[in-house]
Amino acid sequence: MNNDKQKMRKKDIFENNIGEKLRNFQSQPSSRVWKELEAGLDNTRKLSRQRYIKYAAAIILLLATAWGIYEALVYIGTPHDQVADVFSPKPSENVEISEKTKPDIISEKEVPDIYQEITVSEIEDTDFFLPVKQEKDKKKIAAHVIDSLKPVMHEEEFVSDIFETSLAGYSIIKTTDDITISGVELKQPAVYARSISEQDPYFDDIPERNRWSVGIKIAPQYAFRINSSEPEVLYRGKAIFEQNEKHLYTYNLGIDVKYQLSNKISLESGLQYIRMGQSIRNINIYHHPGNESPFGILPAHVNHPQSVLTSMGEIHFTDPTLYFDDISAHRVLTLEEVNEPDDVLLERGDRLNQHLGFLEVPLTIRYNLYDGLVKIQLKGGVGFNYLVNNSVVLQREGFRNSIGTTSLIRNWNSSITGGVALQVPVTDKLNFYIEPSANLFISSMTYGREYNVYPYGISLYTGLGYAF
Amino acid sequence: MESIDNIVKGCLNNRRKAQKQLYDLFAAKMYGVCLRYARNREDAEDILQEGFMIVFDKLHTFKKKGSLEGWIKRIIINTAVQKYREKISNLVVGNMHNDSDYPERAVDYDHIQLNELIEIIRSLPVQYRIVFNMYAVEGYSHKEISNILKISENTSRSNYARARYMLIEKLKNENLVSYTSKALVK
Repeated sequence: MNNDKQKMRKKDIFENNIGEKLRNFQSQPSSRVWKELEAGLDNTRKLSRQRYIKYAAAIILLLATAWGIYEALVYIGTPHDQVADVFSPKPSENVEISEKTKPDIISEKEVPDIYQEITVSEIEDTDFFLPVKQEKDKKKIAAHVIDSLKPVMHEEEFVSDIFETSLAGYSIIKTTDDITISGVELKQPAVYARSISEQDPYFDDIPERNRWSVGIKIAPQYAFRINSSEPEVLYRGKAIFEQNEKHLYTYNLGIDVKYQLSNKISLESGLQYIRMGQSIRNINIYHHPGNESPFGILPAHVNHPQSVLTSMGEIHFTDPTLYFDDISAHRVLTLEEVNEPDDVLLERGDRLNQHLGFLEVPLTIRYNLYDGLVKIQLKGGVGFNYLVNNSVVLQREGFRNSIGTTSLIRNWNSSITGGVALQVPVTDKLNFYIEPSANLFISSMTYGREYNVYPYGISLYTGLGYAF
Repeated sequence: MESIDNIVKGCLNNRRKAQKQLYDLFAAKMYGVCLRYARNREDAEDILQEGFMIVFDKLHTFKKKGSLEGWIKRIIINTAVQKYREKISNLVVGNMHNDSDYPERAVDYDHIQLNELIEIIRSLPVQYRIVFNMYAVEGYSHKEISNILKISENTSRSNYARARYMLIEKLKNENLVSYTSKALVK
């Protein structure tokens, strides 16, 4: 009790004097603080906008992926073998052939016998409710129809019309006022239809489409990260990281396997090496040659006593003859007394590049937007990534030295990806493709810290695919 | 001069002028706090800047139950503590000491120059400086300090005792204080 009283008394004396003086202490900061604060506030607004854009992009990508999966499931669930029976009734049963609407100008012999005229309203019903069995069927039917109509058809526009309206079980010709057949102008719309059977010769002549393909690809990549930390829990201010960390140019490469599920949809997987990271700026690096480091003589097993805080983990060094000093903030942590080195300053404001390499297994859905000579596809999906390479590289003029690693990085991660693919045939089997793509890690790259860091990459893939 | 309420409203609407007014209103006081916690002026300015970033970001969460100044001060102190927390955790002293391990002398505090006192506080090792400020100036208990800094209560007590001892020794060495009597305790 007496001891407590004594302590209380001590505290009173000390605090009433020193504490009170200090509590009221004021001093005017330099104008730098407000200037940087103002810059940081501007930056926060931009980041806030970027955050909304990121969320919107992620939602669009997820919706597109979900829609692709839905389409794939619907396709898988459709009993394709029965399509012809269910949806391709014989013309005599389901399509009423109009005898009275045959245009006067066009004579019976100018249209092949296999075609029968039907009314526009009927064809509209037929048009929109009969699903095309497969893209190949559509082409075969169209090819057959074109071939059948050669004697009477010269206008190219007519060909595209046939493509549009050749549906499962039917090849349909829909003419317009502008169309001329055998030099005879049609004065009113007329529609002709005929059923196509599996026995048509074109089904045998045209080879099956190749469903599988394998490919290799490589991409230069713009790599950086989104730091969505809550400012109040930052060890160092977010603004400091934003000011001193920059993007990196890296690369991705990999192999892929694709399976064509339907005319519109294909699935893709494979194995990729993706390289994420960022560049740390404004760190001075000194070299202290000889046995003694700036921290005194370090036994071989002792780790480098300095580390550098970054938004993407903490950099630890391996070379005890190097000494680091932050020239813009205080990101360098030093656990030992430092003998300020008076020797070689390697370079002012060197770049420390954090490289983090992942092996990724992607699962991607592709949707055909355009299927002509050149294919244009939308792609979206997810990826599962495993950390296989972790290095910090000192980048100086003409030199690249690996001098450490980044700690607190998760081994496993997942990402979402999206992009556009342009596929150009080189030969029957070989395709060349170009794919502008973007990927974003959806789980934080670091662990055990208050930061949430999501690396992303924007890349331009080029590759070759072999179909079989 | 606009009222505090209007300034706060302006800040909530992201108006730069209001943000500057709020900053000007409290910058000197808060910089005083920062100078006590930081090892140098650059660090103190960094803390002030980071702290005000948080203030502007979290102003919508301010409930008008307490004073705005108190709320801002808490944020500034938290920012300072966050800045050094990792270092403090890594520099826990080996031997635990109690207040009474160090002799207390009755000191004439009246003639100490505040600026010199601040300089001496800033020269204290980080783990002592932070605990000293939190306990002696801000009035946190050792239990609260141990929770905030993730250190044990004993470490907090020990650091504080050392800080006080070192502070008085430094004041003595700099001839900034005179003793008016012998030790009060021990």
